[in-house]
Amino acid sequence: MLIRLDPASATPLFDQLAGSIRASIISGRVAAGERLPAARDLATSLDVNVHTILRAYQELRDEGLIELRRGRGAIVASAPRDFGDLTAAIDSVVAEARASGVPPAALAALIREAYQ
Amino acid sequence: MTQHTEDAAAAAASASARDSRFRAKMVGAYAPIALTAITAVITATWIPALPDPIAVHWSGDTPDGFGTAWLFVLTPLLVCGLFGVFVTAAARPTPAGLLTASQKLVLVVSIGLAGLLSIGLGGTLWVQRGLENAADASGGAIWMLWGLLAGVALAVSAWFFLPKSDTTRVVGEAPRPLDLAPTERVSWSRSIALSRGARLALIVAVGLAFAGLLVVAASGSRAGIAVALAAFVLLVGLGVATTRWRVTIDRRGLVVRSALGWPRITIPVEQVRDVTVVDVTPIADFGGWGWRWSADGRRGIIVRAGEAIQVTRTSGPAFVITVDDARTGAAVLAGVRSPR
Repeated sequence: MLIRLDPASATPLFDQLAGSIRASIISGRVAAGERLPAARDLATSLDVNVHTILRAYQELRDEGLIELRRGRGAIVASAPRDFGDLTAAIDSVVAEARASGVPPAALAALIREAYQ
Repeated sequence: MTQHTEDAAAAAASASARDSRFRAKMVGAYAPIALTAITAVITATWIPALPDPIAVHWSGDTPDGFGTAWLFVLTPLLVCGLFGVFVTAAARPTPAGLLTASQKLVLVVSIGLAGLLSIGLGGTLWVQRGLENAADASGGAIWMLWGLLAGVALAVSAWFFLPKSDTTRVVGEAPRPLDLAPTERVSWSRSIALSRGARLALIVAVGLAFAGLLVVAASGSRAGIAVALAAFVLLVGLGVATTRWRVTIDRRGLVVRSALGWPRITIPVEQVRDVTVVDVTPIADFGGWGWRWSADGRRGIIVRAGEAIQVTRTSGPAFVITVDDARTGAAVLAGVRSPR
């Protein structure tokens, strides 16, 4: 599972973290049942506070994407919702953006705007 | 290269692959099975002249463990038959038509084991012929030493009978380094576990060791039991410790840690010279699964066949870790290594 954070960005770190993990789960890069790194290990790995990690994990648990078990850490939920249609739609949007020469940042901005 | 010479090179490689395959079957299966089968037939004809039970374990030169003669008559054939089929199946020649050093190693162990068991167990039966009571036997323990010498001699000659080792270095495919912003932080991690087949083999090995423990406990001395128990605990401990791992790649470099916390392999980012994605065939490349030393000098944590990250260090051996989505992991390591 790939996690990228940028402390220079305006988005809070826990939000970036949850977004990174959410993207991995929705795209299927992390399979159901896979164990996420322990919060303390991930905090050391990313050089952030452990509470930032825990907050992101709790958010993902509330969304039903992961399960938090005492002593066993965080595990990708065994029956996460099927995001197949969304993944396919994202693929076609990205292909369209590439063809029209729209860079990733601009595409992300457009999507964020459409959400408002 | 013209079409003609290309065809000729391909034909030469496939001819040497056929020769390698034949020699691998000879050393790994045909010769060991023939040797142990002949031994079984010869020792079976001695059974009427042997005491019942026979001495199966020695303390110095005095028998201290007893069992049925059939155990010694059939064990070499059964063990070498199973082992021979297993190692020969894994001895597929490389693209150059040769065998890797790891493949050669497991093949010569097969013939060496046949020599050890045939001479060692056969010899201890030989010295007991004509005895009324196996407790009177002597001169049996030394045959295990003769067996060991015979096994080593057979293994060494077989090494030279096999084709020369394929020393082509595994280079692999370089990933496109992940593009990172100067302030960006990155962490990639995955958990890996021993494949089902390898786990099954591990369980069988532990089961056999437990059976051996029971045999020793039934017949052996107090010291023998202690040694066998220690070996058994060590085997189970190593098995558990090397079954599940977590691979982490971040700004600090690569860390592979057992689920138990130990053992742990760390490669700091400043020691990474090169990172690539390679394809691993466990027995041919590393002689098996687990925490391995390859005959070509590479070290590795091998839990299954397939894609793996290979890290070349500025000094010391290359390290290989089998992990899913190895391409992403390699890209992250290449990304944190390159100056921003």
